[in-house]
Amino acid sequence: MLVSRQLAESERLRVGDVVQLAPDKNGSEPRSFRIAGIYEPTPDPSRLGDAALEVRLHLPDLLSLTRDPLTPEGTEHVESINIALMDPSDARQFARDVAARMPGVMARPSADAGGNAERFVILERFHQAIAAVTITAATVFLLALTIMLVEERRETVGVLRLIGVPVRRVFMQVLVEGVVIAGFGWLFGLGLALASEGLINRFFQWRYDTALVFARITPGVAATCLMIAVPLGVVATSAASWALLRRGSLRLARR
Amino acid sequence: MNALAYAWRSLVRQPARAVLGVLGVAAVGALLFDMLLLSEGLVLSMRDLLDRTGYDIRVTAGDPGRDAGPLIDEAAAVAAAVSAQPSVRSAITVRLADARLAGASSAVRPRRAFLQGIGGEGGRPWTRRRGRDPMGTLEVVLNDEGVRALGVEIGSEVTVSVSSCSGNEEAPPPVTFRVVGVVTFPFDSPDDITAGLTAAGLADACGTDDHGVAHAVMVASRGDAARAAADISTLRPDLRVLTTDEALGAFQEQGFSYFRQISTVLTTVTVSFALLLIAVLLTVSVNQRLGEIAALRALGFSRRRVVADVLCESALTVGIGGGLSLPLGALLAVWLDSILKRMPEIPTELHFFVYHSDALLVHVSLLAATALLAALYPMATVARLPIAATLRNEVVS
Repeated sequence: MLVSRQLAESERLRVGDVVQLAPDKNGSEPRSFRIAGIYEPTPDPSRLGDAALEVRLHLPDLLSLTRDPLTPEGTEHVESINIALMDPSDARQFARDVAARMPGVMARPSADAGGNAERFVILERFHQAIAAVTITAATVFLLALTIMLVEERRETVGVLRLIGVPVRRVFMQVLVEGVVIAGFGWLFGLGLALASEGLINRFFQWRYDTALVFARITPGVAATCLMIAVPLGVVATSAASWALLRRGSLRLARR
Repeated sequence: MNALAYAWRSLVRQPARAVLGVLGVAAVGALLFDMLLLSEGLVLSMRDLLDRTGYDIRVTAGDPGRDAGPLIDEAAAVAAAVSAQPSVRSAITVRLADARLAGASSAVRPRRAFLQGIGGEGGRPWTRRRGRDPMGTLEVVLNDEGVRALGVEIGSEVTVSVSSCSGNEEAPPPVTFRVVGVVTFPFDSPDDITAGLTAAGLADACGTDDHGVAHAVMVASRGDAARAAADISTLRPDLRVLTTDEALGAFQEQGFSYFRQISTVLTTVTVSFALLLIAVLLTVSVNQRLGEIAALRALGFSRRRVVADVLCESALTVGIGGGLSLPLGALLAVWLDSILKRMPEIPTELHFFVYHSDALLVHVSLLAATALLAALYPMATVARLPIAATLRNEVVS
C-alpha cells in the first residue's frame, strides 16, 4: 500500500515497513500490508486544516478487507469510478450519455467536480475588499504627502515661473516626476510582494501541512498593481501641483 | 497656551493636510479594528450558537468528522444514566438524517431537508417561534425556509421520504407528518430546510423500530461543564465527551483558523503602514516648520515644550482619526461580513466580525503606541534643533 506523507510523518512509517490494517476501530481481523511508497496527497483547499492521514490500497485488497462475510465476492459496491477518455474534450457529452443510459448513476466531467470553488471565489472577494480599503487609505496619505511636498517646493516653482518657464512646462515636469516616483514605488512594492510571497506560502504550508499555494504573484497581479499605482500617483501629484500652479508667480516666490 | 491647544492650532492652520492625515488614520484604523474583530469573531459567534442550544456537553460514539458520525447504541439509556449524575441538569438524544420533504400541494416540488430526531425530557435544541414542539410520533416542526419552500403552515401535512438514515441502508417508505410549529435552528444556512421530530418519529421515518439510537447525547451541566464531562467519561469511557470549550478549541484548530492567521498578518501590516505614514507626515510637517520652532525656542519655549507640541500633534491626528475609525470600522465590518457570509454552508446566525471589549482595548493601545512611535523621530529632530543656525539659515534662504 501507499501511505500519505502526513500519516508517515505522524506515525513514523517508512517504505518497507509492514503494518496491520483492520476494518473497524477495535482492530479485529487485521491484515498485514507492506508500505510500497509514500505519496504527497493532491492539495485540496476544501480540506484545509484536516490532516491527510490516508493510505491507498489496491481495490481488491480494500474490498477483501472490508467485505461483509455475507456479501458474495464481486458484488461489492464502490463510490465512484474515474474514467480517462480517449478525447478529453468529449467529457461533457460522455457524462450526458451515461446519465441517459444509466439512470441513477451521476456522471460529471472532473472539471465540474470542484464544487467548493465558490468558497474560494468569496474569499477572493474578501481580499479584494480589504485591498480596496488599503488603497483608499494609501491614496489619502499619498495626497497629504504630495500636498506637503509640493508646498515645500513652492518657492522653487515661483522662481521657475518668474524666469519665464510656462505653467504647462512646470506642470509637465511635476507630472513626469509623479510617473517616475509611482513607477519606482510599484517596482519596490512588487519586489516586496515577491519577497513576502515565499514567506507567506512557507508559513501557511507549514501551518496547515499542505502543498497548497496561498499567495502567487502572477503577471496579471503585477499588471493590476501597476494600473492602480501609477495613475494614483499621477493623479495625486497633479491634483496637489495644480492647486499650487494656479497661484501667481510673485505669490509663489513670496515676493 | 498649553501644548495640546498649540498642536490643535498647528493642525487647523493647515486644514487640507490635517484632514487628509486624519482621514488616512481613520481608514487604516477602521481596517485595523475590523481585523481585531475578525481574530476572535468566529469563535465568539460559534460559542453563541452552541450556547443557544442550551447544552454545554456533547457525547458521541466517535469523531463526527464530515458526516453525522457513528450511532450510539442505546443512546436513550445513556441519556438517562447521564441525567442521573449529580453534575448534570438534563440530557437529550439527537439523531440526524437526510430526507426529501413534500407539502400537500403537487405544484411545489419536494425539497431536500435535514431531520433532527430528539429524544429525552430536556429542552429542544431550537428556538420556538410559533406553535409548539412535536410531542406525538407523527408531528414535526420546520424552520422558516421549510415553511416558505414547501408552502405549508402549522396544521399542514408534509410527506417525509428519508434518503439517508444510519442504521437502515434500505430506502424506507414515505411517512406523513403534521406541522405543529415553526422554529429556528441555530446552525441553519440560508437555504437549508431543517425539520425537528421526536426520536420515535424519526425512527418511524427511517423505517426502524429502534427509537433508542442516536448520533449524539447533548448534556446540560449544572454549571461546571468540565466536572460533568469527567463524570460522563467515567460512566461511559467508550464514548467521546466534548464540552463547548473543547469543541471551540477544535474549531479554532481546523479550517477557520485561516481567518485568525490572516487577521494577524493584516493587523501587523496595517499597524506598520500607519506607523510609517504618520511618521512621514509628521517629519515633513516638522521639517517645514523648523524656522518657526527655532523662533519659539529663541523666545523662551523649552526643549521639552516643543517636543510636547510634536507629540500632541501626533496624538491629535491619531486620536481624531482613531475615533472616526470606530464607526467607520463598524460599517466596514458589516460589509465584509456580508461578503464572507455568502460562503456555502455558513449558518445564517454565524458572524465573522463580532465586537468584543478586548478588540477595542487592543485597538486603542495599538493606535496610542503608533502615535508615540511615529512621533519619535520628529521629536528627536525638534529636540536636537540648533536654534541660532536654524534661524540664520531661515533668514539666508
